Amino acid sequence: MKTILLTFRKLRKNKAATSLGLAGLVVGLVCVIYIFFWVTDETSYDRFHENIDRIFVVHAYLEGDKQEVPFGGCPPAVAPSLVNEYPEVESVCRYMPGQYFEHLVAFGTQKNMLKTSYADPSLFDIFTIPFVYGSKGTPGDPNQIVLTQTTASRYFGDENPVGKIVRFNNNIDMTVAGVIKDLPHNTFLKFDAVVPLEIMKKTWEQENILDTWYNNSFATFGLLKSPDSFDKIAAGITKRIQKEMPESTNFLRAYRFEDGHLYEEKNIRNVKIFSLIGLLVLLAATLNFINLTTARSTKQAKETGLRKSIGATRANIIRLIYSDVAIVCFMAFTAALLLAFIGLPFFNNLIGKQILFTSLFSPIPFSIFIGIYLLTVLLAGSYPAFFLSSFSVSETLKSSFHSVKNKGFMRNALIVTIFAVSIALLTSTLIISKQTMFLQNMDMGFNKEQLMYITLDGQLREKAKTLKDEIKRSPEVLSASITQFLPVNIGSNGEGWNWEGKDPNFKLLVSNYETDEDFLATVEAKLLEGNFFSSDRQGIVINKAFADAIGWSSFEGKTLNAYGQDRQVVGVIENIQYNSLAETCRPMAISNIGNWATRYLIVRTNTDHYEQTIHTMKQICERIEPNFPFKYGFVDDEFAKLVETESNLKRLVGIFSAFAMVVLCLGLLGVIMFLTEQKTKEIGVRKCLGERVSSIILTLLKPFVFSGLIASVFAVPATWFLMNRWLQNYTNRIDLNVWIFALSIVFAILIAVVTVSWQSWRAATRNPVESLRYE
Amino acid sequence: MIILKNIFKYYDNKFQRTFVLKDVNLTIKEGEFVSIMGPSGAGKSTLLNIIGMLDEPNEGEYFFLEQPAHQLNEKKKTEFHRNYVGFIFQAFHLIDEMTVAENIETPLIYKGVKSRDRQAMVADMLDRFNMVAKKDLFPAQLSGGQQQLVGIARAIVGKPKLLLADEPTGNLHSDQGKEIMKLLQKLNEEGITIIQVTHNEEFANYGKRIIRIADGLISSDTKL
Repeated sequence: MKTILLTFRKLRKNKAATSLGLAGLVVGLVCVIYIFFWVTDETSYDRFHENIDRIFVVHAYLEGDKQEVPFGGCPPAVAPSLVNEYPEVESVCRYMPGQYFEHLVAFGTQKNMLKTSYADPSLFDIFTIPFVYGSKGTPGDPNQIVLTQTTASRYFGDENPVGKIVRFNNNIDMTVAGVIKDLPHNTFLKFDAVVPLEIMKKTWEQENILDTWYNNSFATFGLLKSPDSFDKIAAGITKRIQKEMPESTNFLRAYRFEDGHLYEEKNIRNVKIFSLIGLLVLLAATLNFINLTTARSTKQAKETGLRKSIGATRANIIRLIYSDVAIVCFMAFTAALLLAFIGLPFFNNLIGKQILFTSLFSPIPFSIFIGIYLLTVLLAGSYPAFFLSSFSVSETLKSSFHSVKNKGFMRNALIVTIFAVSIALLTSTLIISKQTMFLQNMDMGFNKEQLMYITLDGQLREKAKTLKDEIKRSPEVLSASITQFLPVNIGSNGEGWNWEGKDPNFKLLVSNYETDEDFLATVEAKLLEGNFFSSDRQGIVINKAFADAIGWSSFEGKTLNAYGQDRQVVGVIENIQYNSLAETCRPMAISNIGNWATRYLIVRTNTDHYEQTIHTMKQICERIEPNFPFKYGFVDDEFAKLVETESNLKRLVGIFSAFAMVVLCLGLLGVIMFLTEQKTKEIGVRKCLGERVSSIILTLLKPFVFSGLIASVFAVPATWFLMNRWLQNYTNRIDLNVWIFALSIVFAILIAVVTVSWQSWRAATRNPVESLRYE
Repeated sequence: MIILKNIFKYYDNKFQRTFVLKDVNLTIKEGEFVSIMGPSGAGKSTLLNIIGMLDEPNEGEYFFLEQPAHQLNEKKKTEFHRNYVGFIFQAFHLIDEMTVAENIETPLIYKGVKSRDRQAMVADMLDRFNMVAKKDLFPAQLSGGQQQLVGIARAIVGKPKLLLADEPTGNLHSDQGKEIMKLLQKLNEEGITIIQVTHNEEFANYGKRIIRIADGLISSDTKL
């Protein structure tokens, strides 16, 4: 108690130093807490499943021409074969994620498009999905649906809906089998409803859809009886597809589910980078704090000497200083937690997550957090504790005592460290922003502005041509095209293309895209050779990447063989960027759309004022298909979603570098205040001797500029290395150039110069008589 | 009580050795009141610090209560500070963030005195120095003389056998100084051995014995 009281009295006495040191520490800690939140969130992704160590994932991959091309899933026949052939496997589940499928679910007048996942019922056994009402349903009955709590309440309020009949997709009656608790946001299980996989036979109108050894659309999970048998499965399944289809070029691979988010999707890289940033910011804030506490070390050392003379041991002193620091750090942590709590909604909003403040208080994160606290106390307390207790008592008690030792190393280390952290973060922000902007503004090979789409459901699919004709009649619509996929997500590809003179060992993965004859005009893509197909000109169009891979000088009129069928090439188009912005364009073949493939209507408009257009389109759609809600979107929004990861990363690093800059400024301010105070006399003497204010300021500035330059020697190569590695993930990427680095170094030093100049100007313009009076 | 034999204290520079104390021999008995005098830099404070075990001689032997003090380890020295000696400083060296009562109490905490006993002992001291009304004030709120009173109270609250005062009146004006010297005299009469360093002839005469030091050597030793 007494120590706490004493600490408070001390803090009150040294207002400037205390508030600067504390503010720096608090700002740094808020930053660390946010990084901590983010890292906790990433590392707890899908960790709530009780069977986590026994779940594995199977997916297919192609060896491709140069590198392995992985698919998210594997053929549907793989899963049943796993249970049959491996006694170690307890159960399996095939899963079609709900993000991609929206289905109309109606109950009475309530009609909503729900993100619907297709899954084997074993989904609920393998993963930990608690039920509020009902269960996963009776096995073998495909006409059942499981809803999330939020979804269920939209239809049934607080009632128990088990047994109620809802209308699915406007053509199937389904019984509500169960209602599950809403799942946390950090799981791959994202859906409003789950229906049995069996129902796909009906909705896809394909009886054998679940029995094929091709079609890698099925995410496949297995539950092992014991975690140890994973290696056996992983080793055994590689060539399982070839047993059924010897000609297949798809191989199978298994990985542990717990590695999925962090390692398979490579999120661990960002976790590592941000943990490192967190530690560096913590280090900078702590150094800042140490520096400002030791600034009053002359007084502290005297007190220490005195305490020794009245019988304190060195251990007493060290304990006293540690508890002092522990109390101050506790205050700083509390303040930082409070600020973090207040700012969390903004943070979540900015990075598109739903992190809960309470996630901090589960056992593992909380103990790590306590660990960070202890680390801070250790870092911040050790230097003063051992430094201050090391003086000889008789020295410190002399009235002329000054703790001169403190001058050099610590302060320089502090300044260089926070400079380095700031410069590194600043550069990273610039590079990530530049890369993101590069991706966003990249030449797509088509015009994604003013391009809308309508999702086709029910009658709209059947009468797509009518819809297209009616919509084209409105004055804002220039052109429209019926397609199978939006260019952001072309989900059909294969290696089944052959041509004359092809090396039999050469494997080429080609995307197959179906659309109609107005596609070229609608997306405004460029034709390189020949023509686009039309009603009187049947054939296929290939993109430049495909043409380059084949290598002929001209294509028009030539024939390619697709999966055993001869197709005539009518033209070659310039590459249009699809599916990913990060990679260079892959080969693509475009063919005329069949009725079963109609999924979207892409609409080219000539206006930025969409209200009228949307209204007209809605009316037309609802006249043709009154049962489904009108659903539309913008193509450039869909592309923006592709760079969401990069945009989030940019914002995150941006936030963190802003924090680091604040810590830097506070640290510099503290140091220069202390320095000018120490140099009051020197400044006075210099002025008496006729030195000009500007020259005095320059003398004070010089060491800071120098520290900034030294810091860049450390920061630049490290950032270069890390950022270069990050950029390697993108085939379409910017070049790292010197200017980015120079810019951030100049900016960081400039900030330092402004901060320092302001304080030194105050010191230098003081009346010399006043400053010389102190003795 | 105190026996110093052939005490040397020096600092080594690159090319020469600077002596602070040269072959000092001194015996002080229990109950004495010694004033050490001499010009600045003569080695008075160093001698006092060696006696107080805040500093160590480079050569020579020091016996305190028949024990070889020059062989004591860190732990024993702390024991010595806790139980046998009290310090008074020219600059008072009170802890600014502590009240008068807390300042006086601090040595008792290190000595391991129980809280209730501490309160009683501090109250005794406050009572004795007529400072009861000031017990919750901070040092900055007191005059120099009052601060030194607190310093003395803190030095003697642990009932030391030896009181070491390094220019206790150096920062005070003469009236306050006289008060302090009278107080020291009274404490000496009550049985505490006192060694003080002073520049002031008048104040030196409050003691019973004056030792003069010049250039690290004892130049005279007079009993009054």
